[in-house]
Amino acid sequence: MKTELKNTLEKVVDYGKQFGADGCDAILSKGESFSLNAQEGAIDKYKVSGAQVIGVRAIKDAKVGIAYTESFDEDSMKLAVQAAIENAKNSEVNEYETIAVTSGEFIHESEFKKDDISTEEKIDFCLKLESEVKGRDSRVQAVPYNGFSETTSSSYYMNSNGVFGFASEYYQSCYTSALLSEGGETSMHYHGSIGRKLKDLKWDECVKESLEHASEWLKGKPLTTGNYDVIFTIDAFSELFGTFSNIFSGKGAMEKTNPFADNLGKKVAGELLTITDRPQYQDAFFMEYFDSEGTPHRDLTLIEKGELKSFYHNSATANYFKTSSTGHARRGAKSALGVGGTTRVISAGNTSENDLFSGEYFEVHSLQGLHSGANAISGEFSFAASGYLCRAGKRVAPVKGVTVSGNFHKMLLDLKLIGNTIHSTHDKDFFTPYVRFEAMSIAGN
Amino acid sequence: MLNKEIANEIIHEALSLGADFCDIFVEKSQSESLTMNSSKVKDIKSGVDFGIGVRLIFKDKALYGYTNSMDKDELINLTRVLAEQYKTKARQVDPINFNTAKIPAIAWVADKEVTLAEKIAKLHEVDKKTRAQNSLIHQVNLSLMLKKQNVQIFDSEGLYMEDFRPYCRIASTAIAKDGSDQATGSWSPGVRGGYEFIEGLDMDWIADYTAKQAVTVLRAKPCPAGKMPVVIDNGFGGVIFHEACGHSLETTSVEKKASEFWNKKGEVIAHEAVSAVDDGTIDRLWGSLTVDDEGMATQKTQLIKDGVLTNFLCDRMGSIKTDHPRTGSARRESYKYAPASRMRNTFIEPGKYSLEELLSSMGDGLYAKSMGGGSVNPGTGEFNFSVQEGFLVKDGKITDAVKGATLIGKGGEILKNISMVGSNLDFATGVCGSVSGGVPVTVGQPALKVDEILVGGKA
Repeated sequence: MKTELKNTLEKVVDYGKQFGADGCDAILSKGESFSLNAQEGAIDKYKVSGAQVIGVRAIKDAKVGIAYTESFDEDSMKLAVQAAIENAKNSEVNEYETIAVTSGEFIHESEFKKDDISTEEKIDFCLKLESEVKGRDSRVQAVPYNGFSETTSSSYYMNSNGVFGFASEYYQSCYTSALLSEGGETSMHYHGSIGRKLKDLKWDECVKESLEHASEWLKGKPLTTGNYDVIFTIDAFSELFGTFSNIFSGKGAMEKTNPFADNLGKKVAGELLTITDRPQYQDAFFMEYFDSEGTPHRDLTLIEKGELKSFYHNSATANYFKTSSTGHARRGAKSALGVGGTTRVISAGNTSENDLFSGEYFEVHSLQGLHSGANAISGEFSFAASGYLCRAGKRVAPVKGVTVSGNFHKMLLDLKLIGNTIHSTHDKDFFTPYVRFEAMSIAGN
Repeated sequence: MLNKEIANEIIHEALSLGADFCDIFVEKSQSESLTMNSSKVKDIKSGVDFGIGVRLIFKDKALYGYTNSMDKDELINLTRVLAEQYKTKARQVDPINFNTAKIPAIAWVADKEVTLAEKIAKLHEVDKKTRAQNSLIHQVNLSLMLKKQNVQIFDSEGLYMEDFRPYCRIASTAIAKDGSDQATGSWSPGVRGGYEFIEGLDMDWIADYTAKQAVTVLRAKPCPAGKMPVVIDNGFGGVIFHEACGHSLETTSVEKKASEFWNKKGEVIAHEAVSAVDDGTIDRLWGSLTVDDEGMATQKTQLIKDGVLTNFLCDRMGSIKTDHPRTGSARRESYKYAPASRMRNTFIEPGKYSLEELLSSMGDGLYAKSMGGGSVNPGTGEFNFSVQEGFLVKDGKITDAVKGATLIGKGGEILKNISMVGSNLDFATGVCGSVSGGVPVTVGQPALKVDEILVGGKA
């Protein structure tokens, strides 16, 4: 933690008081990153960056205004505070949003120190991500996407009640891809890895996964249009789940854009489904300790045995629903107060994986068009997909050029088959058993 | 902003260390946004983004860094860090004489200043009108965004350029609800210009359009799945070309051979009915430019003429790597990104048919009145995009509304399957996300008929 940045934040909050805000808080984000990409055996792109921003939220006469600046000189900071107050004056009364947290100090310096490796080592590593893909399969037309990055970030929070929070992070990531071409057909897949040290990054897995799936899908064909049981890979299931995660939003419920707004205490899923939000889940890659209002994070049950138990709440949505904040306020330096989850965990069900993977099903490995093919309000979706037709747990045919369609809300209600073993995404941000969805619509030939 | 002396020192340092080229992109942007929900202003936000990006090119390698600082020592240090990998023996370099480049004749103004109260009143007007359209409309979400971007561009060839880029956009979403069923209708026009654009909009039309679309989709049946002919109507229907073909014509894909068209210049890649352009020069259009982010005057680029691939969209690095000419289409979201070849206003040029002629020629199929977004893998050409508002067509006549339809295929295949092009060219705005961030783009097309495409829906 840098004392001068804490002092800068303190100055901004003091300006808020001086300029007449009834209450205010500020977030200071600072990040440094380094990234590399390789092409044709040489480093093609090399990027270093350092950026910082302060965001102010001011409350004046029960109205809220927000402003930010990337310049940290006195004048810019004063102007940002004045703009936030001016924006508040022009806003409408929002009786729910306050500077709610009255005391506390939360300091969580990352236990992971910057990896002591040279730039040459990083460059060699990045070049390997390209050369290994090229060297292992003569059908590789290109390795269009590959790279290594290293990120250090820190976030400071302070409000006019004296609450202070600090958290920092350090991590590295890498990815590579394989674009294969044979007989006029092309196919591509990519895979990534995240870690705290260079030696933790699974470059070999990235190479193997990219080549394996690209190679299989080169031979891939569409399924015959019809209804198929579907099992998503853990990463694909995480993407699907994330697309519809507004069902847990207290802000969405308040603003009538959450389709489950009136369903608290009601059955919204099969009775075997239990989902919790676990900010400090022991196996997760990232852990979170306090939210964007300075409220300590805590575990939260979202769905228990099929019943919707809670939404994510910040202090404003909690005030609206006459409940308590769940510690899930989300606000970046440039954004308004919202809500958001941390690590979601789906509890193990009672179906053995032998039974779950029995018979014929379509293993969906990759989904495309998640941002456009879904209606988060109605739950309807139709995504392009690639994967494998499987029988008794074995992949029998690669599949591409199909769409998988359905209604996510109905899928939850119809859910019966949940595996008894919890797995994680590759990035360790979502934990779930495999889940089998029956008779989903697949369009192909 | 950055003074010329410091810019000169940065570039001098880069060249002294052996760089073949160096440019500096300085950005100061003022942004303002308002959102409305439940007929109340929810958030008013304003801010200043400021930063400097420095790019060094050694032969065909690009090195990029950025900082929020204008401090000379920090910028020089950033330059040295970037040069570290490729620097050569120190060499003598003469100071740069910057020649202030003339901005092309097109000059946009955004001098209309109105109070926040007037902007809020405008949002209330749209909210009220939308809710009045139909009792099934139970929520209206609105946002208004204004941005004024000031940039400076310096380069080692002596270019010095200042540019002012105003943007203004309003987004309206109506949500219709009946029991537990909900559906949305949306419209989000934008302009490269100022608030005067908002004052010129027909808010009655926007209210009618979004409410009608929401209610139509609410009542729609699931779309049947399978291969069928599709008529895609004008305006945002152009996202099909943007995704299915446009991205594959950017040299960021071509230079890596991650484009199905990378070696097809001069070849037939589309039906002869298809001609397409990417034109950055159209007055006030959302994706228009005066100069690109490398300081080059923008231009109209013919991409496809009568089915033949004629040009790629090319930036400086793309030109170095592929030998294709630069097209004034180097773009980036902000100083945090190095420039890359990107689309501006991309559209299929109008043909001769009416919408009715297209529909009547197709027999049974799908009429995609309004498209949602989509994405593409340029390497394989595989694309997907959603139909926001669609209708089944029986014997050439529009019948039932359908929902949940997605169109998927390969760019090269669909371009050859476009057999008829209508005359009703129109445009729509969007923000395209890619390697250099999210940039304002216009998509456009007249209505067109695709003879066969896979429609994802209910099996």
